[in-house]
Amino acid sequence: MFTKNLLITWRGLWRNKTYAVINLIGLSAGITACLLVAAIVLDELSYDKQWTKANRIYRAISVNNRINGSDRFPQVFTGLGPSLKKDFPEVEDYCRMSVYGDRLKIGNNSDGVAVQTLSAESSVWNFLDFQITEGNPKKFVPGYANLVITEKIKQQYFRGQNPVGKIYYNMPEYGDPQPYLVTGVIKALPVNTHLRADVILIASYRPKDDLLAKEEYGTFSTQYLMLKPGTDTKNFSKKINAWYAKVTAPNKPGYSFQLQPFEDVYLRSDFAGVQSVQGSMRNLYIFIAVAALLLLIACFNFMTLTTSRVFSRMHETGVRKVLGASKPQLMSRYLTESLVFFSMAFVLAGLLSKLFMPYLETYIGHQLVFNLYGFGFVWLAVIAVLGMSLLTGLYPAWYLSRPEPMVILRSQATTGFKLNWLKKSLVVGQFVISIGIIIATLVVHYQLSYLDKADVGFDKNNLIKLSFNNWGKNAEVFKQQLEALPGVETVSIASWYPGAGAGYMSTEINVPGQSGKIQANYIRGDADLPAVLKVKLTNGRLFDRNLRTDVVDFDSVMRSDEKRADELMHSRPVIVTDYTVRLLNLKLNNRVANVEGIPVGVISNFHNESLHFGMKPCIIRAEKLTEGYILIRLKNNHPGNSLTSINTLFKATYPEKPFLYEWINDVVNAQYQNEAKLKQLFFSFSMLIVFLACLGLFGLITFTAQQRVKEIGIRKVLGASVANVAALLSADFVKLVLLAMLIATPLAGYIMSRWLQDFAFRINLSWWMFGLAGAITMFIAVITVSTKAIKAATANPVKSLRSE
Amino acid sequence: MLSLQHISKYYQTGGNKTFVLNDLSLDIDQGEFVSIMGPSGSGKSTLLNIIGMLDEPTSGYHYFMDQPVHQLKEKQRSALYKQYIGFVFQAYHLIDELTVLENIETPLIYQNIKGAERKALVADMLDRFNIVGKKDLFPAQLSGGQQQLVGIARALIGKPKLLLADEPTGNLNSKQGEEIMELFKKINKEDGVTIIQVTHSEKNAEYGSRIINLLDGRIESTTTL
Ligand SMILES: Nc1ncnc2c1ncn2[C@@H]1O[C@H](COP(=O)(O)OP(=O)(O)OP(=O)(O)O)[C@@H](O)[C@H]1O
Ligand SMILES: [Mg+2]
Repeated sequence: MFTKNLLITWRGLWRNKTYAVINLIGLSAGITACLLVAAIVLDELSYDKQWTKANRIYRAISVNNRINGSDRFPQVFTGLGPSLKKDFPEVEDYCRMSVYGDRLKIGNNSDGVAVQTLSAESSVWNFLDFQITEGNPKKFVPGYANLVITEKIKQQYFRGQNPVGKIYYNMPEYGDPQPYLVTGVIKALPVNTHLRADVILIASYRPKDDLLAKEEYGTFSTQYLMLKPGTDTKNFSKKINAWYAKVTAPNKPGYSFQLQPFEDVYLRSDFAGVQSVQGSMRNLYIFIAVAALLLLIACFNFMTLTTSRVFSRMHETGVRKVLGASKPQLMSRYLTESLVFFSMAFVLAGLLSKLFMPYLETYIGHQLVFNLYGFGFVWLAVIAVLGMSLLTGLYPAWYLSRPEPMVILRSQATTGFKLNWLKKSLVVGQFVISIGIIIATLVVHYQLSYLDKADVGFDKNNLIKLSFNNWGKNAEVFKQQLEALPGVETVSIASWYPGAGAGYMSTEINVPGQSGKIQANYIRGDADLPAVLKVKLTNGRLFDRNLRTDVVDFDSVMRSDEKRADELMHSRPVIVTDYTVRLLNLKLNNRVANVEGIPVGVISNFHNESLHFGMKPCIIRAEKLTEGYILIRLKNNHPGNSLTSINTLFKATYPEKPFLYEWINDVVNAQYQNEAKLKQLFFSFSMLIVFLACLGLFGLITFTAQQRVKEIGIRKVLGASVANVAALLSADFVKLVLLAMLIATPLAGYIMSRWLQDFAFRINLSWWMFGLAGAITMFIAVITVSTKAIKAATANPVKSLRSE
Repeated sequence: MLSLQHISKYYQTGGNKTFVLNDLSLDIDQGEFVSIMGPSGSGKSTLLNIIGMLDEPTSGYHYFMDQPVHQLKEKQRSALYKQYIGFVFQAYHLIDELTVLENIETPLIYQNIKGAERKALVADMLDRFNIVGKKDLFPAQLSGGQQQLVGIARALIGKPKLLLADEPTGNLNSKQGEEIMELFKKINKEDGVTIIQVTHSEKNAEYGSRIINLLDGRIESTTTL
């Protein structure tokens, strides 16, 4: 019976190629998307689950309760871990570790080799599982930082050598090279950990770092605690906070601590900029939603297309019933058909997803660990195919086995084709999704181009930044030599650059007429910084490097006369933004208690932070600096050409330092990387979704036209024009798309206005975005429908009538 | 074998009842070959469908093989029907997706007959109807007469006791029609299959042993030959 059904289904596929192809394309596209997303989701969920002690490890989080709305960050006082271990039996061990980018002077490159480094203390061996292949790195060798490299690094840079026991230096962007003693080689760390790294650097902390700071300031570091099995975490964190309040009394440092499960660190951390490997639950949800929508559309297509065939199936069903078929027998025949479609689609999707996997990996930026094509995949596929074909196929099977034999016995009966309510809602549902995702894509697109074009108060183009360095005695000379290069306009040494957070430091200040403090950000550079940034002066003056007050070397004054330094600090000239002036009621050249310094210039508003954040007071200070970033404003014509001459000059002056630069434009845009990825995702998926929806529509109109061949023939004989007939066929569908527009608009509007809340500076949703989305969809839908409708309408009526 | 008593069938059209069959009674014995005649719209097809249990009368008593069909549940009726009745149509009603062989085999599948036995039965039938050479063709590849031959083979494959045929020769030329009638006669004589056919042709009607003339849903006259 089953093989019979299979055979018949197979023949049916050949006979109705359009139907089969449309169904297959739709289903495999939907399933491919699901497989790809499943790969991502499973990968994301696998992070940090592989460590044997993961469920007992927690990252300590500080909460700063002194600020309005309290501020959380994933670092705690360096002494917290050791103190907790001493005082609480629940704490088995602590480890201060974090990942940062370092450079090693290995290999042939004069700028060294960039490596992600997991910097940790010895207890890391107790926390994480590593496979040691060479050396005895667990035994800490004092006197040096101990470097443990992975096999990959060894193969790449130490081919035929034994690095263990030897000393190598790093090439810090800033400061002097440090010697590292290689103590061992390990197998690669897993990719799916937030501690993804190429090497481990083990260092010991000074004893004084193990003491707990009892004031509101101190050194912070990323710390992990391992609790004894069976510890009640909730109780324990209450206990440590009570303990901390007690040991710090009578000081009120204003901090409390939380424990974040190790397995949550990757996906559930919303701290910006501290964690190099970070996922987001929200993106995961977006992915899942998009894939679910696609699959839904594909299944909708399958259902509408299959049920639409009821008329061509009516005869077969009727005859079979006359020959004694029961309803379950007939349903099994149609369910077999779904099974065949879903199996074929799944196989196709398996191949397609394999094809797309590399693109996906580029998109998410790292290799996927989870192997989708293992043995488990086969099982998953079998279950999914059975489940989906049952769920999706049951209704069409029931629907198709409905016609009573009388229908065929009354042989010539022709009924007009009517979309039933279910099919109508499926079509509307598909187009709600299509229009919705187009609206979303448009909104993301316009917000991004708004971000791109927004006036940030400085010129981010043709500006590069050299990495932070101590430029030493040569600083001033190097700067002048840079300025002398033909392609260079201006140069500044600064402690901050656009994209490097809000400023180089911040304070909490009072605002007149407002309770609670707010954060004010300080930017510091030499006197040329405002000119290099090309900020817009609205009042007063910019800094002047020829004025003595503007080029004070605070470091050296501080060293010789602290009191004088303090006085100078408070009377130093500063430049403030319009917003700051208005918020704090500042007067030009008047000292104000709130702000250290005297405002000498006012510039128009300036986005030192990304446009996600609202305006905050911003104060620019100038002083003579010998360390910091170097910002170079290049001349407009061929800015890229100057890079070589800058590199040459750099290497001549600082032969030991790596030449590392970035375009400020890139740095600023990187702040919107998430949004750019979202746009990419929405764009490709919206195309796919609209394509699928139209595929379904095309199938439906094909059947409608088939159903109404005779009617069309008669109407044409009676004098109907092609346009008349095409309109007749299309009208129903156009109405449905219009209805979908009505439903999609408020829905997408609501969701996208929520999304826009992420930005302090954003576009307004306006009617034309919805109109445009609707128009695009309607245009595509009408094209789809009318190609078929016109074909049906131009067919020779005599032929279609004779064949009846 | 079959007895209809006071069978009526009407449709409600607007406020009126339109009677298609009006208090009709009819007995048919095992082994008979009955031809039903009458003008278009007189209710011939309706009567045949009721006998074949594809349609239900509005009122009346219907016995088939000593069972009260009017009292049976859907399931029992369909079992009875599957076992004893075969149908032949004017429009053949072969399944386009199936080959000749598969079309003939289909009723056996629904009677849950095992594959090997099915094969044997179908092979016999193909042989008997001289269509072995056509067994792998699809209906569209056959002439009308050949299609009807397949239709009859399909109706007979389940060894029915009663064969119902609604204008089986209506779409065929007179020569093809004659061949079909000869076949019917042979089936009736040799296999003892009871046959009820609807026909518009006097000549074809005379192959039967009894002719029933319908008019406006009543039996106008009966001729026994
Ligand atoms: N669903 C229905 N609603 C109303 N009237 C119906 C319906 N089905 C059949 N009829 C009527 O029943 C009557 C008998 O139909 P039937 O098909 O039995 O006629 P017939 O004798 O077989 O005619 P023909 O020789 O043309 O095949 C016709 O007048 C027809 O209009
Ligand atoms: Mg009839």
